[in-house]
Amino acid sequence: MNFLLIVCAACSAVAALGFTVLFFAETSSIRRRSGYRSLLRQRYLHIVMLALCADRPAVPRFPLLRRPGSRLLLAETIATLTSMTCGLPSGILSRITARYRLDEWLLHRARFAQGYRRARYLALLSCLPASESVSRRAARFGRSRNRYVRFFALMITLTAEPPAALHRMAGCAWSFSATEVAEITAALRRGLLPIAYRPLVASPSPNLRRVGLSIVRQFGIEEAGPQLRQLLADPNPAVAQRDILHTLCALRQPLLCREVRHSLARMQPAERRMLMRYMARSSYAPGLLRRLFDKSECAYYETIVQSHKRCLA
Amino acid sequence: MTVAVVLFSLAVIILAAVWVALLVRARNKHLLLDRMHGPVGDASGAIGFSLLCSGLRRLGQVENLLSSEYDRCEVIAVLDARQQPMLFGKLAARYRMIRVDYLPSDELPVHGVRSMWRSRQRCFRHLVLLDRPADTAVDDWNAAASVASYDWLLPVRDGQYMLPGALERLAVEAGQEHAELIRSWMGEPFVLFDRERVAAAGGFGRRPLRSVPRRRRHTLWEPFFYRPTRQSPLRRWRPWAAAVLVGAIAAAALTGHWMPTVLLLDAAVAWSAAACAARLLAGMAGRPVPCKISVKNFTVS
Repeated sequence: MNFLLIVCAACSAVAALGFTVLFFAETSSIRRRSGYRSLLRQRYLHIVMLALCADRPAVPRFPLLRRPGSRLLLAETIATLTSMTCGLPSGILSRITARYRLDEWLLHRARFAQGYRRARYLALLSCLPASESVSRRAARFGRSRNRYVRFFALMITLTAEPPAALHRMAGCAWSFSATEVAEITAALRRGLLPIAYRPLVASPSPNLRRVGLSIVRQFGIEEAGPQLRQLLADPNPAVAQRDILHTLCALRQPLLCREVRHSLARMQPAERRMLMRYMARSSYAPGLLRRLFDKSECAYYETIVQSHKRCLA
Repeated sequence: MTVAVVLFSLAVIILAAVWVALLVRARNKHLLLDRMHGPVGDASGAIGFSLLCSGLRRLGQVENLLSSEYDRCEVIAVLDARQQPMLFGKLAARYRMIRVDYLPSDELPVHGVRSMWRSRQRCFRHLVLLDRPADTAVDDWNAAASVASYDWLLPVRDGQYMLPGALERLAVEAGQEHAELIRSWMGEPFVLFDRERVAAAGGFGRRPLRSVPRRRRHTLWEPFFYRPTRQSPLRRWRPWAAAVLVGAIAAAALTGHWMPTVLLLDAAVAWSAAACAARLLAGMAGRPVPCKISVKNFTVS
């Protein structure tokens, strides 16, 4: 029995020691993040900005790059810069990435990481101007069970090969979530992919259609209105009727047409109420809705709209 | 007895390991999703949040909730203007509240609302005040939900303060497939409801959480809200307490009392795991850790 207790005590001691080591590691990591790493990040950003602004840019040297974590910091700096800025010249960034082999290094880290850590390295890689060989090797993560890993592997291939982007997105076995569509549209806004909404909206693939509708909504492409109304008449269940109606509302398009009425009739009451709230936020007048919805639903809409006003009479 | 102690000890180790592993995984997810700015940049997106506040007592809490940089959100505070005339007056003056028409909708059971006010101040357009006799939190939330404009409802209690970037992070989570309920027990616990689920259940009093299928509930292991508290004065005695614990363990082990040794080691496991979890949560919440090495001494060559 004593032997059992001794084994148990040894296990407990090892566990306590492990947690204590993790505690100190985490403490020092937080201190580093808020201490010298934040300064180093500023310094790296400054160097990259100077290189971008130079007339004949040469690949700059980055201080303390051999320190642990510094290369990740440089990758994060470049990825943050590219994900926050539109139309950056990719030449110098490609050369920095190639010179310090950031893409190869991130891919190597992704291979030996698991779950969200792997997804994080791939997310960074998707924002860097990676070489074609790296993007080809990253494509194997597209078969991962982790949805985030799959998605960022797709993003890497999209940014590395823009001409094949439509084919890649249509070939995805899973349907994109709203977050994923927003991420792809954000990449479009940065100029990484060509913006051509017509083939996307008209595509039979639900994923491409959702991305197309997101482009129309975010870029406010008003001339897409007739095409969207035509799509509402399509009896194909793959057509996201709710998304199309939301897009029409976001564009402040006229809704008094047969296609919209038919589409509204096919929707569930909860979906109709959701659409009404979106219409109230898009400033549609209650008069219009009396011709689209029945009396009780119009009363609901009027309570939303009237609560923003004060009757003075 | 020995078997019971061994089983207890194993249970403590397994629970502590699972707890810390969940938090490490949550930290990795937090670091990943911090890079996803797509839903935040989508100005015409459909994901919006209505924060329903009940039992409000401090002006600072409203300021904190309104300080979010996420565009599609509103704060609906339910107050009793007769019981708290000072606070109501302060809110009305600070945010230039204007009285608007209150038209009850039949979506949720609501009664007793005296008046409704909206902010005119340009930078605080997202504040709504409901004047209602003091009642239960559930009735307050129902009243606030009945005038909410957005599709996600977030009930907030008195003293719950939001961490920076919380709504941006929740927007990423709400945009995932099949999410109808998002909750977290870390920091200050909260539950984010899909509005249609609450309406279908008949309000917050009818336990809308139970009507959501398990696969549509997203449980997160990171803090989004906090409650400001003063640091415990016993904090500085912690190193001494740790030293006493280590000494006691050593003494028990050296004298061959293995039962107390195992129990004391269990206490050490629980303590170190709790400290580790607190540090991981502090890292996710963005709270500073006391730094002994001054940053100003660091120079980049």
